[in-house]
Amino acid sequence: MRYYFIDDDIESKEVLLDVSLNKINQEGVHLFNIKVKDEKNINEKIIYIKKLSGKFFISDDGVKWKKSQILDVSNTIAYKNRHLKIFRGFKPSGIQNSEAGDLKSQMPGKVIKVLVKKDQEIQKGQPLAILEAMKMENEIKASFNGYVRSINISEGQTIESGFTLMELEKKD
Amino acid sequence: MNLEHKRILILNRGEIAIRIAKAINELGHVSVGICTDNETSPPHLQYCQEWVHLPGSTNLETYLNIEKILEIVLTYKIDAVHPGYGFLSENTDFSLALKKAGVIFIGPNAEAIRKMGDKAISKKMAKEVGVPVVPGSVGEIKNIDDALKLAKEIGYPILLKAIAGGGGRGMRVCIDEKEVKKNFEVVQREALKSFKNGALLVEKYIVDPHHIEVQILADKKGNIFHLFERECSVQRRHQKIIEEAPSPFIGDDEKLREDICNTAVKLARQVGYDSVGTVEFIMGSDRRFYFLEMNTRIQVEHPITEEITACDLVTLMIQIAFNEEIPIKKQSDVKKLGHAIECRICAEDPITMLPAPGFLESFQFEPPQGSRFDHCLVEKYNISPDFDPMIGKLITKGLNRDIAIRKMKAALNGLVIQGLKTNIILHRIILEDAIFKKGNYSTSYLIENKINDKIETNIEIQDLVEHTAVMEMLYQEMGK
Amino acid sequence: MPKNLGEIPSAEDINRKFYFDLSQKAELGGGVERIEKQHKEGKYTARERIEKLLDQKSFLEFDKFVTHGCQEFGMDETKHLGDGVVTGIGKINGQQVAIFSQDFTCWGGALGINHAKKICKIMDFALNNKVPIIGINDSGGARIQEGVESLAGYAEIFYRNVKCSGVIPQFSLILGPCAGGAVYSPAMTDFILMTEKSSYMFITGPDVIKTVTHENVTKESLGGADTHNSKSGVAHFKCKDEDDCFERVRELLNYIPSSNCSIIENGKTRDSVDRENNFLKEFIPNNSKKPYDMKDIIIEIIDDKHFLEIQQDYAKNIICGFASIGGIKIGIVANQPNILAGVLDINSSIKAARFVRFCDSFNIPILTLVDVPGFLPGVDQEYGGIIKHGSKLLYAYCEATVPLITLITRKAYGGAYDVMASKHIRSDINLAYPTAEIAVMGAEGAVNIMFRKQLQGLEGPKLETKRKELVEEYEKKFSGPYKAAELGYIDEVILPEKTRSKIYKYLVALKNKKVESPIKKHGNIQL
Repeated sequence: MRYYFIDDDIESKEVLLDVSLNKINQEGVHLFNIKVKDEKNINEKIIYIKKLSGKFFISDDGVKWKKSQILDVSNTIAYKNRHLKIFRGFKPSGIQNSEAGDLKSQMPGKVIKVLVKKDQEIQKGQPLAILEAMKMENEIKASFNGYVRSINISEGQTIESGFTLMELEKKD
Repeated sequence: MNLEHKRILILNRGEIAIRIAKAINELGHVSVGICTDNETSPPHLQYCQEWVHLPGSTNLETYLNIEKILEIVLTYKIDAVHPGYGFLSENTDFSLALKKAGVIFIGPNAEAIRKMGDKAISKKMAKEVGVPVVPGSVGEIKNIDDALKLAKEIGYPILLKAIAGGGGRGMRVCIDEKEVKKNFEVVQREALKSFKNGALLVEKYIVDPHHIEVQILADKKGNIFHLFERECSVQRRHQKIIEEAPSPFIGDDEKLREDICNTAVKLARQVGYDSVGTVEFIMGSDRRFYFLEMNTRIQVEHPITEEITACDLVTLMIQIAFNEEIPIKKQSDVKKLGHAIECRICAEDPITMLPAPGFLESFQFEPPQGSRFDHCLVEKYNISPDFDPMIGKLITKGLNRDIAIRKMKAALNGLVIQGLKTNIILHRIILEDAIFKKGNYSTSYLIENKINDKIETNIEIQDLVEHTAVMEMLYQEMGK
Repeated sequence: MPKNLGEIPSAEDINRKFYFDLSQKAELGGGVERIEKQHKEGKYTARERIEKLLDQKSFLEFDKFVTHGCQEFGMDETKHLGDGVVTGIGKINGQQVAIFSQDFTCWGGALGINHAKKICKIMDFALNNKVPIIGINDSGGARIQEGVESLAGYAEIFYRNVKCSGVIPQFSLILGPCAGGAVYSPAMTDFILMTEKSSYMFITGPDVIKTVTHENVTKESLGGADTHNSKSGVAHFKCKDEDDCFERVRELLNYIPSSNCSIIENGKTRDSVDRENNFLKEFIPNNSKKPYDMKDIIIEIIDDKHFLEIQQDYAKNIICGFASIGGIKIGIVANQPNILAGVLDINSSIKAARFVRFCDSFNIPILTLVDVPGFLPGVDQEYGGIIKHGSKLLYAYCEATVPLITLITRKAYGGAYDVMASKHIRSDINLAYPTAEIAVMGAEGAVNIMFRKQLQGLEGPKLETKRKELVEEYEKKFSGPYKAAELGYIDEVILPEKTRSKIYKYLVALKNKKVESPIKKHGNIQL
């Protein structure tokens, strides 16, 4: 089973632990093999763990034991001066919220409002125009930072599917 | 006077509200707690017998809202209000308003609050009874020019301080004219926001100072006693981190101790003090002390005084307020034994010491004998950024200072808080530090010795390995 | 083991040494130089990929020493042990899987008959033992030297892809070229994952296209990850790099059972099932012309905000993905009002239909979130066969026997209302928000048709007032879920803040759902 510890502030700081159960002896002592991969290197570690009176005891060698302070499973831990997110099994893909609209109209509609002017500087995500189509007011948003080079629509105009609403220039 | 079943409203939250509730319950009175819109089921309500909802989600709307509080006090037939520390505990208007409404304010009389609450007046009074004071402005400094003029007179470095301030807020050190110009308005704004009073004064800033304060206990019959001193020199940005009683700097110098404690009593008597309070001094390395200010309320670090004198300050405070008999009749009834240390546990980044509120997963305290953890923690609880990041106080006592330190180290090892960043590892480093062990450290100790930077921040693979193994075992259990 | 030089090595020693040497040779594949070249191009070797994907020390390799038997064209001079593919079984997060990984260092991973036989063996194993099969494709195509035997090899694989389809989950990771006939195998698998830099899939490559149709196109734009994830809809995931790809596989396996005979275990989450969705209270805009992001609703109601979206760049007007609620793993299909007003069109119908049929094959309950104003009008759609393709989604829902829960958040008009898992096509639980609008069509359109005679005689402001009056009357009667609720077409109108807790309770209740379908060889879905 894989565990991922990812620094909340520095996403690239990630430690991957691959845990596999080696054996369990008759006293209930579990022996785990853990392969640890962090940004520098890969280590193989073994750890003995047993449960006594509701607490977990851990050891490197099966001889010297110390009590674990971990009380509960959680999604994050506060470790020294950082927060580490913990994922079990897999690292989930990020959610990408949709960006409404596209500069080429994908359906017939009517231009309700034009929100920018020619040569205006625009930011990614900035609304450029509002198009009413399929009875919905769709905000057409810029998908990059740049400039409006030409506007091919005017308010109140009806347009067909595939019509290019504006021409934008990307800012490098 | 009917000594039974008084209804006492706890006008505070967090660990002090729990402390006060325990005292109220112990004396047989009815403890009434408060919850607000931004803290709808706070842990302190578990200790209260009744509770009242105070609508609002900012401190101005709730804990500082005198009008609303008076309404509640009258509606719910409250006999007395305990203000704790901070909030309205040193607000003269509030104290008077309660008196007018016929409700007891568990604290000193309003005049004492007013006089000692105003840094200018308190300094004047101190001078009148021959208490040494820090050179500085006599009254409010109204503008930057006056500040610059006085600063030049008394010599840099100087401190710009809010007259109504406390708790380390509303003050800035200025080493030259430029800094005075930069900070004057900043301090004014801070003072207005935290204490509703933007008046400032200017004071000489003493270098390498020790912060030493004397606990005062006075009844309503004119008897005033001291319960020895505390040293709170482990600070950063004027926020106390570790406090000790008695002061290790004063050490065995009983004469100096008597001197500073009696001086404090002298001042308290002059102002007609009649409750629990603290007189703060600043002591230079030459062992000369100067009066700083008097806090006319119960303080955060009161437990360490309780530990070395076996006196329960909060219950005494309540008994005094109701004019009941207290077991201390003369100064010699107060005896000191041993040494006590308090570590303030805060939800903050241990290196930057900036607040780090968040979700408290779980906590566990396995205390050594002779330790006490005053906290307001509840598992699976969201620590809100609206309030102070202090989540608990760890207190140990021993026959001597070394023993108290040893017990504190054990207590810190036995305290596990999961889910929040805390300053526990900072405390561990300080407790191991040689300078701290010697007992001679000033308020610049932390910064000068870069204690915070000594904290190891690397991710130890072994820690993660252990954590993972335990989690895997827990998950296996959950599956069954 | 230290050897005393004066001694004659025993037969035991010689055998062991030979074994180790041969193993090492096999593990080097096409040789150290070729491995370096693979790394330089940002690609892992076949064995490295298996190591990174599977749990440590869990890989059991089959057929390590298989080689080809070809004599033509000097092939007998070079033999690679393993014949250019590493096959075997192993575990991912404790779950047993079968895996094959093509080795580009051996003749560019070209497929010969024995290479294909190795893959077929592992596919047979997977089928018989009911475990998922993961294929890592990194191959230049058929081994020309082996002639028609290579083609036979491919066909054997294709046959098994179909045999396994719907019985065990099949994943194809395209981590290199995959061209010509070879693409048919991934095409028939359940999920295709591609990486941004080095994966390509096409039937005929740029060179041939140039000669035949004189079109100039690069490998990347013809069949790279972007193309297949956004334009053609062939692939399901576009991953940053190979490591990201492996994470996606692990994530997918979290939601998909080992086979159609097993139900995936519930996950453990600390996200409380009673959590109220206060965020949704005022989320849906009052003005039904204003769009919103359906993903916000999805994220709000599922566990821990973990949503694994499939084909997120293709047919964005419909959202398909996996999530869990209270630990119960489900598939989610949802219209996206932000894109194309959330209409159904050819691409979105096909995308959702395949997803629904996948979930149905593997007993994964489906939650459908509906906000659809209808089908996309237009000549392109009609010529493109919207009639045929649009009804694929309808077919898929009607065919499905897994628990189906439908929630209408806002619009559900016309035929699209029927298609999106309505009660009538045997969805188990149909819910609606108070903001739902269930009707044959919107108020404006309806009024124009039904009251044409009344409106005909009027003009100007009088016309507008009368129309407004009729629209309001219509809206009062039909806007809202209550008409449908009266008829029992909606089981319950729910408050948005209770969404999560309600859906969880229904999922638990539907756990043991069992419905029989009439016995037939298979239906005739309009392909």
